[in-house]
Amino acid sequence: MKNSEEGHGTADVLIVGGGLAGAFAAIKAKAGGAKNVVLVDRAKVGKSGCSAFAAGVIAVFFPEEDDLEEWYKITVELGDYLNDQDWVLYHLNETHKHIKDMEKWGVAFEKTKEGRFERRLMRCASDKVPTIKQIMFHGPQMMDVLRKKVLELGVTIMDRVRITDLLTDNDRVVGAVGFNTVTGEFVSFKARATVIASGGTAYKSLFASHKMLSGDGHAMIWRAGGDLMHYERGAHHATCAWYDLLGMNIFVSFGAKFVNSAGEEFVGDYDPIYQDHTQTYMYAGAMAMEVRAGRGPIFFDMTHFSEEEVRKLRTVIPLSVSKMERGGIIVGDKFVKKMEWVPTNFGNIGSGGGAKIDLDCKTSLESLYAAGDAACGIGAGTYGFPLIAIPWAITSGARAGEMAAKAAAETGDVRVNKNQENDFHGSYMAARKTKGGVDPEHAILSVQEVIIRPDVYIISREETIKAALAAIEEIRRDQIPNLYSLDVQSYNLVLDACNMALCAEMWLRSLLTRKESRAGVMREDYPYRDNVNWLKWIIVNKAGDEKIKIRLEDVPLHKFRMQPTKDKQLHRIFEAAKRRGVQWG
Amino acid sequence: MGIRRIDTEKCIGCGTCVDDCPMNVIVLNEEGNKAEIKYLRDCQSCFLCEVECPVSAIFVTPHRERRIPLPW
Repeated sequence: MKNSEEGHGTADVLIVGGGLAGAFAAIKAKAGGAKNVVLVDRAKVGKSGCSAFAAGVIAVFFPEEDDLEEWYKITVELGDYLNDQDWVLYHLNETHKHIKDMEKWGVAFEKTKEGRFERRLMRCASDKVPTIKQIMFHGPQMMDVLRKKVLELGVTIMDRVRITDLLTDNDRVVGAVGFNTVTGEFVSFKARATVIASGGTAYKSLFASHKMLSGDGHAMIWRAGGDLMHYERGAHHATCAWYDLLGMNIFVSFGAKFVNSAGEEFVGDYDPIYQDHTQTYMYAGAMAMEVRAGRGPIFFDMTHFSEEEVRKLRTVIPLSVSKMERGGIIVGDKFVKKMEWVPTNFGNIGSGGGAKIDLDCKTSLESLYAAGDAACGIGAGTYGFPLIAIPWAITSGARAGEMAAKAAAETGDVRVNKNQENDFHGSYMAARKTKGGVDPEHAILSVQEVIIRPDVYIISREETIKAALAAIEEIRRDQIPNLYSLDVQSYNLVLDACNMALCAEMWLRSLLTRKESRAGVMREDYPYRDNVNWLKWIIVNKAGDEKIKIRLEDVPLHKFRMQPTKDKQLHRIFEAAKRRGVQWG
Repeated sequence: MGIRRIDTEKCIGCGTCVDDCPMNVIVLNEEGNKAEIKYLRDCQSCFLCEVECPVSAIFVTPHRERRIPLPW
């Protein structure tokens, strides 16, 4: 960072968020000719967000081994035709090139004896449809290498800087403000182009190592007047009820089984094609239906794994294996007991909503780009596609960095509005001085109690969504403006609570709007996937009066190659529930 | 539970855990020669500190530090 005469930090390209998307953005911004690239993270670049804890597998299309048409078709079908199909093709064609670069930089991948990438069937692949395959990397080693690469290229890294708001000059983003999460010092950056790569929100929900993902990027884009899209899509996942564990995908690819309280494998009944490899929303729906029928709790069984398989897991997913050893699940090289498994409201991590972007990763605001979970997911619409988060962070991060560098080169000096900067500074100082009021811990728990309910985030209906919305509005009205902080650490919780509550309201309003059941949106009052009326994108932004505004756009299918049938079909989860004798409706 | 203890006999005060913790849970003590747990409730049981500690002075459990509602 260079200090300009006005006392701002300055950057040609400012990148917010130091996970995989942010690191790739920084690398490609440098490669694209930007001289002064600054990468900031609220924790530490390389040890933050999802990427440092990513569970060892990436779905990659290799042109020398795979059929592009098949991958393209499956991606669009699993996205239930809400994808930006241009992005799907671009993504599939780009990922493998970046993977090969990562390997050159030193990222370790599991290889066969012949030196090829070792590949296994991904989620959404089975013996019947063996298309989508994954490769394996060595957990946190990947981000250690990326951090080193970023530094080698001369990118300025600023750890422990949490960006809170964007600086704007009319419709143009000209930088950002935030604070140091250790010292509390207020910071301000002037930038020709900005990339938001700070993830989505996981609502500090049941899932491992995602507690810093509280929707900062989405919230600041919304506050600056930018568009967010696909916010109705709650990302579903499932995890251990007892501990925060990662790695369900890789465990499933090794043959882990879900069983209900009677010991019966049930997922295959809900999805006969992909079975235990089904999409995340199908797991969540199937578990909710089984519990509704009195067949809960649900267990995850890996007791049949061989010792060799456990040793392999120790290499590719070391942190989770340590946890299971500490919890007495793995003893020696054997799984000795089943774990209780529950669906989790994963917010919009991995496959949910985010900034509406075009093929250049540009948002609706000038000079602002978004990548990874901060943007609206691959191909804008792929619900529950297997492990799309990591390859998407790579391709969108790289594209955002490249295009932000180009935009920075084409932009002259930018002007920071001193009044706006002073207002942000003043609000920050006032918020830090707050005495008395509501504990942010209470507000966070209040939001979670509203949204981590199966009748809200898994199988919902108008009454349950409206009740949740009313509760969130009440939290935003009565608690959020009155939160107090004891020190800079608890001020982080104040911001977490504030942004989580905003994201929850954007999600519930979008969910209420989609009057059909499509992929991860499973509404028992509208149980049909409605291709006649609902091939639409739901977009959220801010109305002038600070209210959340919703608008609809037709999916531009006329531009795309794959076309859906214009019909209405009962959502698979409701059809399967009928077969399993579970009541709904 | 999250991070449960830092063995002060073993700790060499290198600051690796302080530097790596994504949640600012650990700080160096006033003398700057030992790591100590400051914000225990923010621990997300990610195990990075335990894994990265060069002298194996840190012990973490996988239990959740904060109460998080379960779906049922």
